[in-house]
Parts: sequence; structure tokens; C-alpha cells
Amino acid sequence: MKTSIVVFPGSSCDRDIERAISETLNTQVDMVWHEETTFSNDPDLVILPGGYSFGGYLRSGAMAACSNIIEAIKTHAAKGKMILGIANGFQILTEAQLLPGALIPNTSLTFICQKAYLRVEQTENMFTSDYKIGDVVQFPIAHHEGLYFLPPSELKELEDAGQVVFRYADPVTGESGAEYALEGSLNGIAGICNKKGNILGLMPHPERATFKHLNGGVDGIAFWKSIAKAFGERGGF
Amino acid sequence: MIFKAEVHIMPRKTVLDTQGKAVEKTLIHLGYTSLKEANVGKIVKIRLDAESADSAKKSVESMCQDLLVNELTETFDIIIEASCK
Repeated sequence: MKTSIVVFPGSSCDRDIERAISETLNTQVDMVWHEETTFSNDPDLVILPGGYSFGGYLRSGAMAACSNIIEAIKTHAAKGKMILGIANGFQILTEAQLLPGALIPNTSLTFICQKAYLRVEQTENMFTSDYKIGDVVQFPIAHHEGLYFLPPSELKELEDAGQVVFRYADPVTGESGAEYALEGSLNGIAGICNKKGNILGLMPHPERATFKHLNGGVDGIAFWKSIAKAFGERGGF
Repeated sequence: MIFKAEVHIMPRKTVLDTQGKAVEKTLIHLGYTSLKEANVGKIVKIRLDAESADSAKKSVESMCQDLLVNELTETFDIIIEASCK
């Protein structure tokens, strides 16, 4: 399996992701600068990391969505291959219209950096098949523009199509919903996928829930294993 | 001919304007009790070369669609005026 991690000016989670997948997936990893127009290694998985690409100016992810590499990412998506956007990577995917919706400033107007609990809402995609529906996992969040927004009719379509993959939840009862979304995300949405299930965007950071010594949690390991499983089941792409 | 353009970008009414709400609360805290509402947006100032005000406006509209505005969450108005410089 081959993975490309796209690096934008201001990306800050690219090395964390490289470390996390290098130790959990049997994959060759390439770091690809955003000015490239193609992926030279024909990757199976493309990851857009968190951080503050282009300083977060104008709108989070807006400038990155105009980078040269985006066309190559769209071609990769059209082939049904995997694309993962974490935090700023999720914002870039929405700005590039590879996923629906927008991430806008938190209702608190503060940067929120803490552990978050998410309920796995569906497993029929390439990123969560190693979990069970209803599992509650802990991935940290660290964002200022993390409120997931979509107009009501489109939000209903997204829900009806089962595209909500992760929703903020109570760690004890496992109940999920808007009341558990610290930043005010509509319907408590933390992560969504496209209809085909090959593109996933989420605000929380699975790469920060991969090594026990970092925050005491390893719930992210099953996330990476799900990717390996999806890749294996397809016998490559 | 050189034109000056201003793009006024505001959050849509259906989107929670978190900055506007914070400004509103702080102004009321300062004693401006007559205040009914505050909204915070952005202004992008542009100078561009175009044959007419109409074509300048078309170019700026295209810039709004390509980068400046996310129409899912924002609305925009364009003001064009001829520039002497």
C-alpha cells in the first residue's frame, strides 16, 4: 500500500500522521508538496493533514483548495481511491467541494484543544470498518473553526444518506448529538464521508490517539486498521 | 482603465455569526443598551484593469466564486468605482 501526505505551507500535523501510519500500516509514505501537479508514486491513500494552511486566511482551507495538487486529488477521488482529511484537511476537502458543508468558527469563539468522545455512526466506508456502530472512541480535538455547517435540507440529505460517520458523544452513556459538540457542530457532526465511502473528513485527530505515551489513548489504531482492511479487501486498487 | 472594487462579505442570516454575537454582547456590556444587533463581515479591496465597470464587476464576481466567498455560509456585494490612479 502507498500513501501520500500532502504538505501545505502551515500544515503542522503531517509528521504526526506519517509516524502514526508508519507504525500501524504496512505502507510506503511520501510527503508531497502542495505545488506538485501529480502524485509520482500513484498512491492508494491521500491524506490532507491538520494545521493552519496559508495561515487560515480568508477562510480555513480556502487558499489550499486552490493549490495545484487539488486537481490530482480530484482525479484520485474519481478512481474511488481513499482520501482522508483531518481537521484543516477536512476544511480543505469541503472548500474543494470534495465533501459537502463548511467548517465555521466555534460558537465559543475560542480555540478548543481537548479530548473529545465520538460515537461511530456507520462502518460502511473505508475508514471505520474495524469499529462497531455505537463504539465510543476518544480522539483529541484542536480547532477554532470546527463547527460543521450545512443548510437544513442538505443536512437532512446527508443524514438520510448515512454519510455521518462520527458524532460527538457522552463517554459514559454513549449517547451522541449536538449537545456533546463543544464547538456547536450541527447535529453534533464530527466526521462525514462521501456517498461512495472513499473520502472521509473529520475534525478530531486519530493520529493523536495512536501512541499511548502521548495522551493515554489508542482508539485511533482501529481507524488505521480499518484503512488497511479496506485496502486488503479490495486487493489493492 | 483602472477600477477600484470593494467586496463586502457577510455571514448568511441562517449561519450563526459568532463574531457578531461576541461584539453585540460586549457592546451591551459597555452600556450600549439600545443596540439591537451587530454583525461582523469582511471587506476585500481590489484594484484591477478592465475595459468598463461592467467587465470589472464580472471579473470580481468570478474572483468571488473562485476564492473570496463561500456561498454556502456567506453573501457578498460588489461596489465598483473608477480609480484615478
